[in-house]
Amino acid sequence: MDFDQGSALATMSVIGEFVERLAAVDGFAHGPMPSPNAMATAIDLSGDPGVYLGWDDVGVSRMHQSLQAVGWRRLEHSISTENRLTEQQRMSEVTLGITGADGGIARSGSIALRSGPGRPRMASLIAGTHIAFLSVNRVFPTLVDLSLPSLDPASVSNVVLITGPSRTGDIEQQLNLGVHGPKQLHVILISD
Amino acid sequence: MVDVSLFTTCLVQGLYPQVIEATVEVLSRAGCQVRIPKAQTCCGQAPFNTGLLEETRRLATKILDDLEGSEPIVVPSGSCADMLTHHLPHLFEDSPELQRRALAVSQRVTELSSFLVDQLGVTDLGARFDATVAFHNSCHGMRNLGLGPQAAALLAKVDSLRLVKLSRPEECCGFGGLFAVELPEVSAAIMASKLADVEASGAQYVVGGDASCLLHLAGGLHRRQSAVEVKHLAEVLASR
Amino acid sequence: MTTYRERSQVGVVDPRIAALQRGTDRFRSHRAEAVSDFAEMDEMRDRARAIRHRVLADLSGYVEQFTGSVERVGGRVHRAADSEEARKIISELVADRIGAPIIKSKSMATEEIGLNHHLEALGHEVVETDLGEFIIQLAAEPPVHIIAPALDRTRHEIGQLFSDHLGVPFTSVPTELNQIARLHLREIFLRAGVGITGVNFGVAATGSVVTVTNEGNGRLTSTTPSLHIAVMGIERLVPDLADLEVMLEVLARSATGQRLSVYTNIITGPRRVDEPDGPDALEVVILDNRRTSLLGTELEEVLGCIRCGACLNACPVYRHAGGRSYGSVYPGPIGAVLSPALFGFEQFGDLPYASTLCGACLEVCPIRIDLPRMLLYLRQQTAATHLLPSVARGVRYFTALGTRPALWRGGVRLASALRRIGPRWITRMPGPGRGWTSTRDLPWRR
Repeated sequence: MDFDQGSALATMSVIGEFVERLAAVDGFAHGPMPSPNAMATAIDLSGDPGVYLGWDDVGVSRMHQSLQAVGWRRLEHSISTENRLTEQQRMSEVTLGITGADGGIARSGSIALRSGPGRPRMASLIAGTHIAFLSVNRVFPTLVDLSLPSLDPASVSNVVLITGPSRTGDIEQQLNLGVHGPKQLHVILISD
Repeated sequence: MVDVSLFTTCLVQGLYPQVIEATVEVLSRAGCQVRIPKAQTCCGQAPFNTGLLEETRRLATKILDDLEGSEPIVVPSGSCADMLTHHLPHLFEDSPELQRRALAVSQRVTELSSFLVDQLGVTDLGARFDATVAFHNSCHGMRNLGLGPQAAALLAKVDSLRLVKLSRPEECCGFGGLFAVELPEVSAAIMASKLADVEASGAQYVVGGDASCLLHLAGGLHRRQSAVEVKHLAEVLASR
Repeated sequence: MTTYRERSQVGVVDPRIAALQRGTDRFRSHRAEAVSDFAEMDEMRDRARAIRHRVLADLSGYVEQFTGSVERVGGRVHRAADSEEARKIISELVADRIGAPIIKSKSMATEEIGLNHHLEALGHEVVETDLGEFIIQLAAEPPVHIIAPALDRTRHEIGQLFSDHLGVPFTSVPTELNQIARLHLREIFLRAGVGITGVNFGVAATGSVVTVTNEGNGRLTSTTPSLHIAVMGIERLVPDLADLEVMLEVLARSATGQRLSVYTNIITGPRRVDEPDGPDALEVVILDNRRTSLLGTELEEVLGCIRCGACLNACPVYRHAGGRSYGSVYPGPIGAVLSPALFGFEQFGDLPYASTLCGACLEVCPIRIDLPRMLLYLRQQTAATHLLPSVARGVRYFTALGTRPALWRGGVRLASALRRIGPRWITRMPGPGRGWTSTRDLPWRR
């Protein structure tokens, strides 16, 4: 076996572990698949159209146009000191959040998201459903392999590692999903 | 013949003298010549665990005289062996001479089951004990001396003995030395969980390597009118 | 002021103890599974311990570095010597925000300084947003467990609390209760003026504050309000992000058995001007409260604690007498060391005796903190004042006997003779023996 085949197999096993671990924490993995299919999958998963919040660039071109074409309305979200409260009140209508992802961790089924221009934190937090696109090239075996320093947390206000949908066990340790954050987390793996 | 000294422990002297006889019998069968230093009393664990350092040092200093020698010191108790192995030398940090002697003693100390299995390589002592038995692995021996597997190996060779597993074999029994009289309600609550585990296991006997935990469990079993009895490991190994 | 003994007498018969035991059992089995799935766990624990020790060896240096890093990214740092100073700093930060609710994400440091009552007395509306913490806030009770504050509450009690306080019809279905809390708190999140969180780790090199939560309330609390106040125990620093990775590898596994918690939130400064959301200001309050006085002492290593709660789940005393018996915001074996160390011997000098010294806490601690050693050390400091006098007297008589071999042998012979007469079992003894026979018999006649 030559080197490339070996590393391709290694990548496949890392992706396989990521998919398995995401399922173990009650998230859903889709793919890997090429971008056009990823977009179609996202549309399928998005459900009844409503208001969504998203990153400007989710890693799949024309994603916003496609969502809007099936009836979704994008919430333009940018708060300032003056409009914070009114802006945030509009959040209650948001039912879908759509983002990219800056990395994945196979061992825990986690995705890493950096904040930044055009990347509202609330997109991965406020809606009942969060769809994230993740390039297979950015999936690493462990947290240490992903490397927090490589995400350069000091250059943005927020880096978050998300491991499955929001959960609680605070009532008799019964698992409950979506207590404050999303109830459903879909990670669509992009192969190109 | 291997010469050994037996450190009998205060609790066994006072309340379980049959453990001394049994230990001597077991060690003899394993080819040992057993000496019981006459002046010995307590390893100091009782005052040590209550935070009474001065009293601990007085007892510990005396131990150094009592256990002078070069032969192995065998202790039929995990917690006393742990006291002598791990704490004794630290009691004399401001006295190099006493500390040197304490280290010499501590290095000669071995708990009974570990001495038989790890040092002598003996597991079959020709014992016979026709009963269903659960083993209680006492905390200090288990966590600080790595005890447990040795007793399992020894019990496995006892003829007619049926060993059953507890569902929580690593759980404390709630004795805790003077904890048992200082906070009796908590001690008894922990004990109740252990006894429920013992009774559910179907055992007729709880066997252990520490007379202290056994005294506590025996008292609890009798109070709840249980048919289960306690035996020290040495008693089981000595029986034919 | 009550004693541990008195509180534990209530604790052992509390009907809720069964729920606490079920809860801790689940945490334990999840932890055991996570640890057995992770071959590097032991190595990671060693590395985590080394990191914590490195920080404690030069804590003031790391605090200085952390402060500089926070300021470089636009945050501010405040140092609070004690609870009173911390409350004063925080109340000044929020003084002009009366009217909008203050939302909180679970934080032991703010429990420690009694922040909620203080802010409420000043006229603020303070809302806990972690579901467990929200429940006990409604019940007006202290947390029973470091990571699961309402661990011993049943769904029926929670349903009753919600129906009493939130004006909703009674239900005891967990998913419905969950939904009630989500809707109730969601509305508050979106209009809150201030968010107060604890800090799991502060990263000295970057000035990041890291919160680890499962529900997402920690993220909301640090995102929607314009002001984020992070309250951090001074010892909670790690040198850099690589060290943080090590701590994250051991924290969730030890706490809940997860590989990572759902949200590991790394906050570095307030939102940048070009970011669409996040708070406009970040204020980090560093709480000392006698922590630095433990540096260089026998108790220094207790500052290595990362508040995972594994020692509580493992402890037979905690599991049978409950969290409230400790009478402190920090229960369990860690609380039995931390409470007297931070809050004084006068009130908490008896907590070091609330242990069988079984060592189960050390066995599971991700930092391998030697709690049994420190419990023994603390007993040496408080024996004179907190050991039961009858027990202390008994031990002194025993020692007097034990240092006189002739007398001792006489005593043993006497005991042996006495044991040929009398009852088979002694069922009642006076003095220090009363504690024994109150719950057990003593085997006697041979």
